[in-house]
Amino acid sequence: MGKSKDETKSMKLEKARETLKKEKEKGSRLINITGDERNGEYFLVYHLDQGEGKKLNLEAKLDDKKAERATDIYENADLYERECREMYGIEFGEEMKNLFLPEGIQEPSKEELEEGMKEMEKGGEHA
Amino acid sequence: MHDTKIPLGAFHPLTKEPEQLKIYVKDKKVMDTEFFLGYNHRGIEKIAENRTYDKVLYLVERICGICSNAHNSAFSHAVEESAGLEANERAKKIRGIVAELERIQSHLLWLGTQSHYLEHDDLFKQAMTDRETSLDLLEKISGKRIHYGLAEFGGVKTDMNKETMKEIEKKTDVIEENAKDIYEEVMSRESYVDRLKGVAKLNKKKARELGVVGPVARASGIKMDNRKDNEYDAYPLVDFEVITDKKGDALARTEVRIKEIMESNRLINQFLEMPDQNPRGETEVTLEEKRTTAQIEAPRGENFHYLHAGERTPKRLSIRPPTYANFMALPEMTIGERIKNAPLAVISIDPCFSCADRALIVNTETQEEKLKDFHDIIEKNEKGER
Repeated sequence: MGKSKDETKSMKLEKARETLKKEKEKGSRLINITGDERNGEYFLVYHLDQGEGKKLNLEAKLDDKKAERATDIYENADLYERECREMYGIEFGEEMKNLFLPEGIQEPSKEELEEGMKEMEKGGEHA
Repeated sequence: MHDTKIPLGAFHPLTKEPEQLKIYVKDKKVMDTEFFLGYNHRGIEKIAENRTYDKVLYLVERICGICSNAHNSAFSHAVEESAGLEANERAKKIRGIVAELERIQSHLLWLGTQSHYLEHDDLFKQAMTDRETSLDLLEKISGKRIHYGLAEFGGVKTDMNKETMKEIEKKTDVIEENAKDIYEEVMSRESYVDRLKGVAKLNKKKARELGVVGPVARASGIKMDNRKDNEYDAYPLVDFEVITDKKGDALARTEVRIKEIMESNRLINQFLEMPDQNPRGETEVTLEEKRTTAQIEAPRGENFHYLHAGERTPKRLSIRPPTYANFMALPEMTIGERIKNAPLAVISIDPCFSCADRALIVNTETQEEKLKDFHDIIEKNEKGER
C-alpha cells in the first residue's frame, strides 16, 4: 500500500531478539507483535516501523510455543506479548495476567475454538 | 502503600464505552492505576477466519462505531496488497473524503465529551451540532451514518455526484469556520485552559519509548502521520500539514485535535477535485497464501492490520488499533497526578474500548522496588522535569 515497503525476515527467536536490539538502536518503532501459525508451527511476528514508510516483519519460529519476553528491548511489547499468551497460548516463561478474559479461564486449544465456531455457525448453545 | 482505592467505571459518563479503572491514591496523588477491560471483547479476529474476504470487510467495520471506516480501509489495503489491486484516483479520493469526515466527527465527539466533563456545555453543544453535520454528509455519501461499507477491493462501492460534492464543500467549510471559533473560544477561557495545562504530561522521549501514536504522539512533538509517512490512497496527491505540539499535555492534545479538524477540511476540498472515472472495484477475491500488513491513520492514530491470507478466508487476521498503543502511556500520564486529573488523562488519549478492548494492569501492591520508581516519577513531576 502506498509507498510503504514491507520486508519479511524469518529467523530463530535468539536471532530475532538480536535484530530487535539492533533495530531499537537504529530508532525503529515496535508496532505490534502477532502470534501466527503455519502448518502446525507457531511464530511470533514482530512488526517494526523503520521510518520513511519502511516496515520490517521479523518472524521468529517457536519451539513448543515457548518464547522470551522482549520488554527489556521495547517497553511497549508488554501488552502485545500478553495478548499472544492469552489468545495464542504462547508461553513467555513468566506469569502474566489476562488481557481479555477473566482470570481462571484457560487458553482454549485450536480444536476447541474450531468446535466453538461450528456451534456458533449452527446457532447452537454457544451462539 | 496506598490510602485509598477509587473505582472509575465500568460505566462512566466520561468514557463512551465500558471499562473499569481503579486508581490507587495517597495524599491526593495517583500512586498506581489498574485497568479492567474486556467488556466488549467479541473475538472478531477469530470470527474473521471463518468468513470470506468480502464478508470480513463488513465484519471489521463493526469493531468500532466511531472509526469504522479506518478498519474497513485498513483491511481492504491489506487484501489489495496481497491481490495486487490498486484503486483508481477517483476511488482513492472518495476514500479520502470519507476518512477525513470520519476524523472530523470523531474529533468533535471527543471535544464534546471533554467539554461536557469540564462543564463547558455550550462547547459540547456546538461540537455535537457540527458532528451531526458531518454525519449527515457521511449519510449522503454512503447512505449510512455509522458503518459506511465504503471500500471494495481496488475501489469503493459508492460514487458521488456534483450536487453531493457541492454540499460537502459548503458544509465542511462551515465546520472549519466553527472549529476556528471553538479553538479561539477554548483558548480564551481560563477555566478550560487551566484545567488542561500541564495535566497528563508525556514528553517526547517517553512517548517514543512507549510507542504511542496519532494525536497523542503528535501532541508530544513526534511528527508521525501515516497519511504522510506511508503515502497511501490519495494523500500523496494533496498538500496538508502534520499538526504537532511540543507541550505534551492534555491541552496540547486538545489543540492538535481541533487544528486537525481544520486541516481535514483542507484535505476534503482538495479531494473534491477528482477525475471522471468508475470508482468500483472487486467484490470477491481469491488469494494465494501470503502475509501482508496495512497501516492507516485513523482519527485516534495508527490502525494496523496484519493479514495472513488463505485462499478464500484469512488464516490469521491481527488488528492493533490506536487506543491499544496509547494505553501504554496511561500510567506515565497519571502516576503522580492529582486525583482530579486522572479522568482527564484518560479522556486526553481519546480511548476507544470497542477497538482496543484489552486490559492493562499495573500493580505495585507487592512490588516495592517498582513503587520506588513511581516516587521518582512523582518527584520529577514536582520539580517540573516531566
